[in-house]
Amino acid sequence: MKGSFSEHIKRFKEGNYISFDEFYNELNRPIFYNIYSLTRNYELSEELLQETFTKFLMNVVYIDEGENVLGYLIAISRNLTLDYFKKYGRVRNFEEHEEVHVNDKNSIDKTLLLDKIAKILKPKELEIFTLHVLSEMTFEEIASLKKIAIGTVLWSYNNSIKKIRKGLGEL
Amino acid sequence: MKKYDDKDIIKKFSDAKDYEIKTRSDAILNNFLKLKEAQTNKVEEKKTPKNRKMFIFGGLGVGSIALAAASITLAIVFVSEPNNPNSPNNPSDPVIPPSLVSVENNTLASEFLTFSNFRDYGTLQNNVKNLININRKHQVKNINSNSFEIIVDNYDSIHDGIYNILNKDELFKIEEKAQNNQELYGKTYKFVDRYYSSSDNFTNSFMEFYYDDINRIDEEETSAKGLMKLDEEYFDCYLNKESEAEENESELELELFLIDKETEEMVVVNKESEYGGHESEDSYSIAYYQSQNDYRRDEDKFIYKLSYEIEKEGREEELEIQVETQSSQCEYQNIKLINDDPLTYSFLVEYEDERNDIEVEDFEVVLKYVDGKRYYTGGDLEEVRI
Repeated sequence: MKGSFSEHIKRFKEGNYISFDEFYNELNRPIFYNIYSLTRNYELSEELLQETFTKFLMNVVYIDEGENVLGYLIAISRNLTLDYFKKYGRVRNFEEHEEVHVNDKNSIDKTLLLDKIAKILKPKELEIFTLHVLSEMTFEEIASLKKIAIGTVLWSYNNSIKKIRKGLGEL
Repeated sequence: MKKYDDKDIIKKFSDAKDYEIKTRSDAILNNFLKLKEAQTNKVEEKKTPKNRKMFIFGGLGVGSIALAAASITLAIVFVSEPNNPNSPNNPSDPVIPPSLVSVENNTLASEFLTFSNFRDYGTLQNNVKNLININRKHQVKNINSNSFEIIVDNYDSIHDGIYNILNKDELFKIEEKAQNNQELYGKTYKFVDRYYSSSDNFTNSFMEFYYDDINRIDEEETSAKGLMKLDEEYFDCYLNKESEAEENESELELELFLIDKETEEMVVVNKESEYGGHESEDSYSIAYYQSQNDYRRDEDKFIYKLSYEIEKEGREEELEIQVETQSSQCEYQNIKLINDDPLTYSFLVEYEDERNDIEVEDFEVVLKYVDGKRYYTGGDLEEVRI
């Protein structure tokens, strides 16, 4: 899915951000859905998406040009999201859930479904599941990102599908 | 292993992928440039009126030369393209001449450079001290105000170096492999690398490294020798570097020796760095000897030695610094940022001084930067440095 970003990184390190729009548009969706899988809230996910890419640019001089950029961004986004929860607790998150319920029918289904799935799956299973289903990463990419064997990724994913079918009944 | 049929489940989430992300790339760039500018302003505010170039490499400290040399030799490996004139640079950024190439994209070089600040360890020249002793008579844990003052003095003499390790906001550029015709100490080296700092907008080189060649022994091992010029002083410089890189993992070992051409003082730098995925571990030491003979006879016969270890996992960074002399040993552990505004760090101190009969363990100190002053608080004691 994602090509090499080394040319972008090289330019950013030199203070040349002319290709940032292209870079961002290629990577924003997997990062956004990775955040969304944790927050289940679009507005908050937008905020954290912006924070993730800002943080990335602030630290770009320390990133190797051969670095797995997607993995790096996913790690930043997860840490920022978890920091957010630590800082503000989950209260605001739940409050905003209520707003989503009122305003967006699609979001209701998605949010409730994710909430249910989060209860069924173990954290590591949920992560692999959301990286594949929401962030659209291939199993090879997930294996590379998580530094685990592809067989382990597939095993976890298949196990998750079984659990979801059983836990949610007829889909 | 075969993937299970998951079409129905994926379909359930397909609507979510229709969501149009509202955050635009230009909003992120603007936000980033504002933050970068604010960070630059904060650093400028923090710095003392002391000349920045001098703060980085100035003075007589041989250690600064060692660090500078290491940075030069490492930086040779990295060449980047000149700045694109169309790039939307932060207006506050200095204008970099196109003939200069990046140093800062080499993390190791940057780290070596920051450590030049540690040359001031244990000295307090031109440092205005203002002791505010809230309760002089009261013993806090195992520390009294005199011990606290020593601990603060020692930390304060290297606070800028520590700040730079944690923030890495220095900017250096290099003019690489320029032709040299100048004879120095009876020899004309073929090339010279000139180092420039953002502190004077890259207008004057503050350091020069003269050499004939970089000896690449094989893919992993590089050695170099040459002559270093810094503040009109010259040093013989020898370096050996071994690096190994595999997918997502890399290791580096570096040894650097510098000998002052006039005083024969010697500096030995050792650096080890391991990087794997989102974890990295760096250890570094710089030891100062009165002469080569002292070093050869006994490696522990240093005047003083500073070492540090930094571990990084994801966004978490843990820094530990140890400084040893022949009669004392001080460790600053778990140095970490606890607040951005005002800039505040905390650390634990272990200090042992045989000569002054001081022993301190697990003493927590908080350092706050306010209005150009540095406020150190530990227990009921506070000291201010300007």
